[in-house]
Amino acid sequence: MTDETGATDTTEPTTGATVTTTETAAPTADATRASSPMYRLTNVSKTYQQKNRTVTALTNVDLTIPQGQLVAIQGPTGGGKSTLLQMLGALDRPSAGSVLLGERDVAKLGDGALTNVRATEIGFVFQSFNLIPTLTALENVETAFAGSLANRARSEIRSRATAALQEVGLGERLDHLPAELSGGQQQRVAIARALVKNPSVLLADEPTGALDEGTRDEIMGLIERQWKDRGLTVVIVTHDSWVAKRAERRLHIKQGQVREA
Amino acid sequence: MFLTYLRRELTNRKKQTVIIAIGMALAIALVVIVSSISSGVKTAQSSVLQSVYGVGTDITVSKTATPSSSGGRPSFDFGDQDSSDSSGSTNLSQSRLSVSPGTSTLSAANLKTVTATDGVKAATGVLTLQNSTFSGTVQQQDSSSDSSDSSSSSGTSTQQGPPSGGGGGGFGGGSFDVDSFSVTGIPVSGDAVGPLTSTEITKGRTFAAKDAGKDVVVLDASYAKSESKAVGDTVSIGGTDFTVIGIVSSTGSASTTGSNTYIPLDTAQSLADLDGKVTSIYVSAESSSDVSSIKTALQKQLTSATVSTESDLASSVSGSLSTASSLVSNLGTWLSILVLAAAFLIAILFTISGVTRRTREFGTLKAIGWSNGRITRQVAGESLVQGLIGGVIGAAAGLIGILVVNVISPTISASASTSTRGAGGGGGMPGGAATAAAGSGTTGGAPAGGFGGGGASTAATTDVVLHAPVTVEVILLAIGLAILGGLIAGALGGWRASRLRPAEALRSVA
Repeated sequence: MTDETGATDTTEPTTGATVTTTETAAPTADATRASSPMYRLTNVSKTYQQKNRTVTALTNVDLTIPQGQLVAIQGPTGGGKSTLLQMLGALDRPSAGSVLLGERDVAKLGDGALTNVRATEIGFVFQSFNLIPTLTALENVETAFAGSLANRARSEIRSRATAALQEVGLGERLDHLPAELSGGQQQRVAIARALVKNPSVLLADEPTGALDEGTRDEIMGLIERQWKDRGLTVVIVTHDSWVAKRAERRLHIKQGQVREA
Repeated sequence: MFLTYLRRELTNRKKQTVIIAIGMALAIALVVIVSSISSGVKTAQSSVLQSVYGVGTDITVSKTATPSSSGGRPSFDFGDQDSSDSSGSTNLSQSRLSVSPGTSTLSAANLKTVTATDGVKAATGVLTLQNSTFSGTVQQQDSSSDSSDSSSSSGTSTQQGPPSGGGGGGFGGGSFDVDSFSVTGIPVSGDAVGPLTSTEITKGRTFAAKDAGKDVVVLDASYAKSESKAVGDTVSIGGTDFTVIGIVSSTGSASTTGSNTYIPLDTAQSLADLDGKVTSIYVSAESSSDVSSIKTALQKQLTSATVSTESDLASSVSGSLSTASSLVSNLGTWLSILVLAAAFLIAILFTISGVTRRTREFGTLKAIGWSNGRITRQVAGESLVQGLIGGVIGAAAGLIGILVVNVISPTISASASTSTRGAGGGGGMPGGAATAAAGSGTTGGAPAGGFGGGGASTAATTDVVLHAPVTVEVILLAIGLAILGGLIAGALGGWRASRLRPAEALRSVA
């Protein structure tokens, strides 16, 4: 249950229905964050049917993430990180419970509405960058204009995509194909693609997993800067403890149950 | 974004684009060539039929000879006019005009019946005859050894059909020529339907009303050339000299017209002792939709006659043209369908394979907010353009193929016949030499082999230059098929892409 004051409040850790709100060095307005959580997951469970057996990925998860929080999620492979990120990213619906993104319950939205939520409010960054190999850096960033944003003027889309790439330090690499860029540069393009539409949330899946230490530091620095400058809510799934320690709040997920780390 | 993404995919995935385009191009080229040749063959068939039956003829009415009816074999009546020299040989020469073997005649009443039938716009009766000239020399045997009917000074003898071999009194040691050409008696009133409607005057003039009953003839150009005849010359028909007033040639691609010679109908009837008779009635309908009902009505009213529509006549075309038609309609069509199906299959498989390969790409696009419709449009667009590229290349290749066919201009022969009759042919005199000359290979079904008779009753053999036309329809067909192939492949690929769940497509997420 979210504490209105922003203090940490952990309940029922043994059931996995962990509701946690952590306030540490919040760079954004505390009042805003406390009054309107970005995510509120209530009793969320997710089961999959694999042939003749049922796999439980999430079990009765209760979780609140305030606006502007930088959250790191850690846990073993198969523990439910992937499924939780899909719920937060409106990529899938829970089998039970509700996932409130702002005031909307993702579990009750139709496919079209979910698509528009992803198009306008959520930015994704992936471990393997997931850039379109045949498109240039600039064109990759332009693909982010989807849903209601796709109707923007061509010139506006181009100028915003250019500005986004300049912001991540790739103003000189606009016409380069992904294969012509280093791993770090590709991840910068992916970050520019995620942020060009000014989303409320940035979801990052192992954003530094495929990078060396030096590049990892650069990318984390870039994400932290965007988090602070934009007041983004950032959720990072990572195996890297160094990355997790940079977060305001650390969650650990194991066997479908979430608890504060 | 759509066009940019499309262009990038096509140019950066060249292998897939090239394979799909080549597959589609091969299929489209084959379809274009087969369609064009098919069209050319149909035109050739039509041309052959028109050379025989004229332009605008929807139905023909004729009558097949029964075994007992006249007009079967040419017969010659040798009187005592032929000379016999001191060496004992006899010179014989005689022309005979008769109904072509295998056909019988219709009466004037039949023509009136046809004309009065509902839906009939015009009807013309023609009399198709065959002029056979026997000329040669025979060696006379000892008369005491034979009391049969061979030529002798005692009077008339008639030779009909192949004489039986053996026995005494033959013509051993003689030599003969049997020259035969077709003669068509047509009304001189200039009817809108009939054999001459598919011809044009190249020299002289055609018939006028004043020619009725006159001994005037219009010659087929090929026949005139082979016989070295010109306007003003005379031609012997049935023993009567006819003055050549004009020469006609076919307006179609056929090398000859339907008959060697054309004479006024009443003259032909008089000369052949067939007053009021015709062998064929050419009918044109008020409307093409009336043809079937007219045929039915005529079959009921003229029970002994053969009523044939244009499609019936088309089936009578034989020869290498028929072989070509059969080849195009069977092998060509099936080959086109098979190749087209293979091309479509290749396009579909490659598109679906491409979607599978790009699962993460589409999953990413869905994750960043692309709708199923947008992804489907993107995939379908790529496939459509690949199909169109193949279609354009295929159409160009097809046009080149058609050009090659037209440059080669293959000549194919064709025969059109409305009825055939028993065996015959052959013949010849024991111990003699018989030759038969059918008028320059055009109409008439001259019974090769002298007195044998039989064979095709009204057969027209002609050479046709095959021309494969390039039509807008063929080009549209090619483009349409390419679009169809691209759309099918794109729709299936797009459908598969749209079914990808973003969460499953992004296995890499967390």
